[in-house]
Order: sequence, then structure tokens, then C-alpha cells
Amino acid sequence: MIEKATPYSYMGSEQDLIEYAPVLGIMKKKFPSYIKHAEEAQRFSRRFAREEIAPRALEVDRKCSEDPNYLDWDFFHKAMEEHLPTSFIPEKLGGRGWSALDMFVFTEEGCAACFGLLAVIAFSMFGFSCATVEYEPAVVLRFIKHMVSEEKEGRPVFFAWAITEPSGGTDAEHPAAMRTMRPSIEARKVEGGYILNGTKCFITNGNLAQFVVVNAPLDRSRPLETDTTFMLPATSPGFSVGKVEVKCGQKACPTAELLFDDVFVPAENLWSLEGEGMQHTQEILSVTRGGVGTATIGLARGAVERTVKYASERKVRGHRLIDEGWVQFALADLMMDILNLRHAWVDFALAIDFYHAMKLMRNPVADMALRITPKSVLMSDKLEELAGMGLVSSMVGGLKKKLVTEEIIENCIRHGSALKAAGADLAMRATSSCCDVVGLEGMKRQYGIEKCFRDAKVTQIFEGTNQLNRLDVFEREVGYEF
Amino acid sequence: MSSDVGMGKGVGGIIHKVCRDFCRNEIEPVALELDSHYDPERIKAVWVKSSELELPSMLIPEEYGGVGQSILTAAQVLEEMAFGCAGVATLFAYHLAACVPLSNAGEAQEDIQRLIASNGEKEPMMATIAYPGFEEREDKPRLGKSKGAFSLSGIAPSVACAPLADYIILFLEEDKEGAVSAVVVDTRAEGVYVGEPEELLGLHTLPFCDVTFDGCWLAGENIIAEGDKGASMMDRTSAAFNGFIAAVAMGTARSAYIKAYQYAQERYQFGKMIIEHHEIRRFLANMATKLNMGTAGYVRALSGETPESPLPGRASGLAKIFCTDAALEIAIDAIQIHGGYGYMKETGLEKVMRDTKMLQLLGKSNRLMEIELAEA
Ligand SMILES: Cc1cc2nc3c(=O)[nH]c(=O)nc-3n(C[C@H](O)[C@H](O)[C@H](O)COP(=O)(O)OP(=O)(O)OC[C@H]3O[C@@H](n4cnc5c(N)ncnc54)[C@H](O)[C@@H]3O)c2cc1C
Repeated sequence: MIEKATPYSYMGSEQDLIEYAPVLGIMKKKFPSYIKHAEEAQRFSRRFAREEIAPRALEVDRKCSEDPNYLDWDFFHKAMEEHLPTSFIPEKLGGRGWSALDMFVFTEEGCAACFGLLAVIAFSMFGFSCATVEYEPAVVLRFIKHMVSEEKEGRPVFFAWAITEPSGGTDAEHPAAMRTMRPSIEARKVEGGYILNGTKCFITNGNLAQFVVVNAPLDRSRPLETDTTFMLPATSPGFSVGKVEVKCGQKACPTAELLFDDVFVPAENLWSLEGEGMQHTQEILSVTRGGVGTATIGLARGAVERTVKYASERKVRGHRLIDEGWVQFALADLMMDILNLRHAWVDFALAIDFYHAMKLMRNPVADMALRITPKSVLMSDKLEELAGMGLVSSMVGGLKKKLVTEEIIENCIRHGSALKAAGADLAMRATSSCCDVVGLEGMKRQYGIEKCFRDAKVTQIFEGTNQLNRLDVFEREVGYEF
Repeated sequence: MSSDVGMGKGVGGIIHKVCRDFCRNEIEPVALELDSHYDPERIKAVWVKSSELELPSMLIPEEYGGVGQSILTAAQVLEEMAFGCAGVATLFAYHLAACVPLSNAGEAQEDIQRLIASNGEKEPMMATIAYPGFEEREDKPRLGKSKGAFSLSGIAPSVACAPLADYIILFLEEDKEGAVSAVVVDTRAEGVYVGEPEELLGLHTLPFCDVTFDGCWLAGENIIAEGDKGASMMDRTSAAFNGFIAAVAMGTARSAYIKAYQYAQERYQFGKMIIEHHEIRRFLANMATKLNMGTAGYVRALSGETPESPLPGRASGLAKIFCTDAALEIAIDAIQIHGGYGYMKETGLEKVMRDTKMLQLLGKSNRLMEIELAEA
């Protein structure tokens, strides 16, 4: 018999981080401060999820049903006070200095409380990660400074990452698919920059973003060879937001159509080399799919936790619902997969920290430089100027290319896609199965279980559909050439 | 569209054609709006309109002004309706299920049957069913008897259609094991209080409300059946209801399938129309298989019905499990084929997914039914 079961005392929420996976215990011996930091992040995340996310979840979901443009600003300001949108920025520069592990811990906890509200914060970080891909140090520093100073003033900085267009989302995420794509957008090269014309759709935070990172081909008839990544401020003349979608779930986080009508982008806002837009996309996906995979585990866990609570309180045939054999097997099935996939995200987070983008942060030289350079210098224009100088820029860029090799990116796409697709399938199965356990009465809005079900379906669709994710895994398992 | 999927051509072809037009003209256009905003007036309008086709009185015998159709035909009509909106169809499913005990009672319930069959003359009465006595709750409704009258007190939770229906048929557990009282309650009677509609995942055209009975007195004729007779009446009603829900599931899933099939022919991705991708073909064939099997399953379950041999409850229960489970899978796959578009309200597919998830839980939830139906 299960003695204690409330939403926040079950399925890991009372468990220490190192109980998630034995490898974390081993890591703790070798890298004590790294794991301690993650444990602290977990304690913080649980408190934030319990106090700020969970209590708002249902109300925001309802308000967004009535008005898809609605955003809970109060929530976002709370998040800013805690430096969550800038959490990956080193503490010395004004962020939280979170590692990928810290961030993934936060993702699971947050999504267990509300997938939509977490997404508002997390997807903004995705957009920013676009800046770090090319690792133009001057650009990265400029944005860090901007975000930190805006955050201080209580003004949020939203990024949107726009690759999907009406003519295709799958085609925008796979090189072979893009080769045969019929693009809905085009960039024309002009004196001093580029002119963009066309449409993007289903863009998360698209209606909120001050900065839009967008992919477009220079030649519609050769989409892959000419695909290029641009950054543009939302104030650019000719740029506008089209319709904001009314969705099934994940409502707290808006999804919008973006319209480009002769939008001029100066050459310095090129965020990939010409024709290297797809590499840029792949590198981002190599990180974000793991993040979304983690989110799906949080989603599944949130549904299971709510169901355990409900089933522990509800009486049937002289005992609690949770004492019924069929209920125990239904839930055990989900718990089993949650435990297994949690190992996968822990592993993925470690890979990002020790092999991928975050490795640069852990690089002894970079670390030392960050330690000894006074904050006033780090945040000064001089450093930005210095970083922009050809030699420094190519040194850092080169270091990054050496550290984050093609092979690492490919490997992370493989594991990230596997985690995301398996997690999304689990989230869908888990939320559906939880509905079965609680029955018609448990479908009432106040229990939050029907919301989990509505939220879950999107995870099989975005970050590459589950079909594309499977293809990405297969191609990297058997070897492929485009 | 592939004619093998969906309603058979032979059975009551005319009814189906008429019904299809009704669905296209009256239900489909308002389905999405009614899903977002519960509007009892407009739902009532659909109901009244349906009486022109004598849909509410389908199961009422001809002698009382009804059409006297079989349970199977009623189910097939519901399948057609659900193509337009599962919520509206389910509302009719509850009503038609309630007609089963009423028509079984024959002469004793003649008045109500005539009111339901008042086709065209005035607004037809609507009925619904509820099994509140089987819930494990302190406040479940109980029937007390004193001086020839019956008092009803307690709360019936989540009664479907309660604020719209004129009559609720309640099945109440008696003290004696296996014995059931079937009673009919007028929702406008004194001592009957209908609560606010609950906010649930789907079937938004169909309000579910708690109904409180407090100081509600019933006369002898309100007691339709008692004891073993009541129990067998309840079984017969459940058998019809499960068959109806199976049919509704197939109808709404078929609408999702057809959308997905058409979209797959129009959508270009990865160098071809997506219907050319094997994985999409597998999805579509799988959906069609489930539709064919499910439809055959419920038709077969309901075909056994004759006045002498009651409906085989187990077969229609199993059909309800299969059809509603299959319908949810079909809805989820139809969304998947539509990619991002499928997740948006305007495509109408996420509604099918929410509605079919609810269908699995109506009556008894599928997982519970499995436990009960494991033994023949
Ligand atoms: C809530 C939400 C938020 C989003 N946020 C963003 C965002 O911030 N930025 C952004 O750029 N995009 C975003 N998207 C878009 C998302 O990435 C796309 O919807 C997704 O990539 C699928 O693209 P599509 O919708 O065009 O479907 P399609 O690519 O048209 O796919 C249709 C169907 O065909 C299948 N298919 C395609 N090729 C094959 C094949 N070879 N074999 C088998 N099946 C195949 C797909 O799996 C799918 O089932 C978001 C979407 C949603 C719903």
C-alpha cells in the first residue's frame, strides 16, 4: 500500500538529484561543485515550480483560450527576478551561470507543473542559443549585455527562432528534404545586406520577440545550397506578426505567423555564412531536441503525479482507487518509462556540458579569463570591440569549431532525436493513460490532468515531427549521405 | 472516399442520406463554435430541427407516434451525426438510450413516449440516463418509500445533458444484491436541482452537471422497474448505450480519417506528396483497418437484438472498448499527418481527439469495462 502521495512528494520530487541516475553520484565525487550546483538548481526549481508555475497553470490556460495573445506578465517578471531567461549567462555577467544539467533539471521540474509556462521561458533561450552557434564573440557579448541590462530594468528580451514556413516544417529541418523544398520565403542580396520577402508560421513567441532569427534561401530554386540564417529586430520596417494561433494546448506560450515584406537586413546581421543556414539549424537542433525530450519527461511525470494524488484520495469498492490492480499496472508502466528516459536526459545534459557548446564555458582558459577579468571590463564596450577584432574573433570561433566537432553535433542529433521522439510518445501515452485511470470525474479541469493531455500532443509534432526524429536516428545509426 | 469505410450502404439507405444532409447542414457548421462556447440555445435549436427528421423518436414505437426503429439503425444514424460533431451525437446517444427503458415499459410510460414523439407539433422532450447509485459516495441518491409515495434524495454526479433534458432515467442500486430500481424523474419537478455545467476535456456541446435531489417526491408511475426486472432493464439500456458510443466513436474518427487522407494527397514534403511516404501510408491503412473493424464490430454486436433475445451486453461492451480506443488512435494519427496544422483549433482535429478521449470514459471507462468483461 502506498502511504503518501501528493503531487509534490512523488516521482522524484523528493528524491535527491543523484538518485536520478547513478552516474550523477559518480560525477559528484569527481566534479563536486558541478553536481552541487545542479542540486541547488533542483531545489530552486522545485520551489519555483510549486510557488510560481503550478498555481498559475490553469488560469493562464483559460485566459489564453479566450485570447491567444494573452501573456502572464506577472509570471514573466517573477522569472526575470530569478534571472531565468538569462540563466545560462555566467553569474559574473548577471545571469545564473547554469550548466545544461541545471537547465534540464529546471525543465523537468517546470514541465511537471506546466508545460506551457515553462515553454515561454525555455523557448526564448532557444532563440538566444542561435547567437552562440557561430560564436562571434562580439555578437554574443552584445546580446548578453543587452539582455542583462534590460532584465535589470524589468524589460524582458524575447527571441524567436523561425525556420518553419507554410510550405514545410520537415523540409526546414533536414538537408535532403530541404533540397527539394518549395520555399515560402526568399532573401535577395542587395547593397549592404539582404531583403527578405515571404512568410514563416508556427513560430513560438513570434508575437513577443524583439529579435527574430530566421532562415531563408538566397535562391528559391536551390534552397539547401543557399539557405542562410539572419537576425532581425522586430522593429525592422516591413516585418509584421500575422495571426496568433488558437491551439489545443501549450496555450501559455504563444505561436505566431511572421510576415516579411521587403525587410532589409544589414550584412552584419548575417548569423550564418551564406549557404550554411542548414548547418546552423542542425547545430541548434543538436541541443534543443534533448531539451524538448527532457520537457516531455516532465510532462509525463506531471500527469502521473496528479493521477497518483487523485487515485489516493478517491474511494472505490471499499478501498482507494490506487489500490486497484489495473491502476497499479497502468501507472507502473508509465513510471518505468519515465525512470528509463530520465537516464537518457541526464546523459544528454552531461554530453552538452562536457562535449558540446557548454564545454567552451568549462574550457580552462575561458574559465580563467572569466574569473580574472573584472566585471566592469567584461561588460564594457572595449571588450566588445576587442572581441569584434578579426584575430580574436577567429581565435574564439576556431577554438569553438575545434571543441564542438561535426561528429559531436551528429551524435547529439542522434541521441537528442531518440530522446525527444521516445519522450513525446511517452508523454502522449502517459497523459492518455492517466485520463483512463481518473475517469470522467477526474477529467474536470481543476485536476489539471486533461490539460496535460492537451499539452502533450504538440511534443510529437515540433522540434521535428516524431517521424523526422526517427529518420534522423536511423540515418545516423546506419550511415547516410546527402 | 473509399466506400468500404463507414456506414454500410444497404441498411436504411434513405435514413442515412437524410441524416448525412442534416449533419452537413445543421451540425458541422456550428461544431467548432459550440466547442469553444457552450450555448444551450443553439444546441436546443439543433435538437428541435432534428425532430423534423423524427430523430428524437427513432426508438419510440409507432403506436405512440414514434418511428420504431431498431437499436442498430439508431446507432448508424448516430455514427453519421458524429461525423459532424461527437458532442451532438453523444447527446442523442444519451437520449436514445433513455428511450430503451421507456419503450420497454410500454403502456406504463406512454405519456412520456408521446411527448418525445411530438414530432413537428411542439418541441420534443429530451431524456437522458444516469447510474448514480453505483458510485461509492456517501451522498449517492437513495429512494425511500412512505405512504405509497417515494422520496428521492442525494446527489447524482456528472449527469450528461442534465440542463437540457426534460427527463432523467436513474438506475439505482437496491439493498438486495443485484437488484436495481429504474426511475424516471422530471427535471422540472420540485426538489430537483441541476448544477452548473462542468468544464471537461471534450464533448463540449454536451453539458455534464451534478443533479441534487432534495425533497423530491415521486409517484408510483415514476418507478419504471424494480428488482431483477430493473437490473435487466439496466443491462439492456447499457448494451444499447455502449453500442451507440461505439458508433459515435466511429463516426467522428471517420471524419478525422477523411481529412487526413485528403491532406496527405495535397501536402508536399520531403520531395513528394506525403501520401507517397510509406510511414504515412502505414498510418492511413491502419486507420482504415480500425474503422472497418470497429464498424463491423458494433454492427455485429447490435445485430443480435430481437424482442425475445435481449441485446448481448458483452458484445456491445467490447465493441465500445475497441471503437473508442481505435477512434482516439485515429484522431491522434490524423493530427500527426497534419503536422503543426493538426494542433490548431481551426483544423477541427484536436476537437476530435478531445472528444474521443471522453468517449472512452463514458458509461464506464474502458479500462474498468475490461476488468468486468473479461469473463463471459
Ligand atoms: C506549438 C508549436 C510551436 C512551434 N514552434 C516553432 C518555432 O518556434 N520555430 C519553428 O521554426 N517552428 C515551430 N513549430 C513548427 C514545427 O517545427 C513544425 O510544425 C514541424 O516541424 C512539422 O512541420 P509541418 O507542420 O510543416 O508538417 P509537415 O512537415 O508538413 O509534415 C506533415 C506530415 O508528414 C510527415 N512526413 C514528412 N516527411 C516524411 C517522411 N519522409 N516520411 C514519413 N513522414 C513524413 C510528418 O511527420 C507529418 O506527419 C511549432 C509548431 C507548433 C505546433
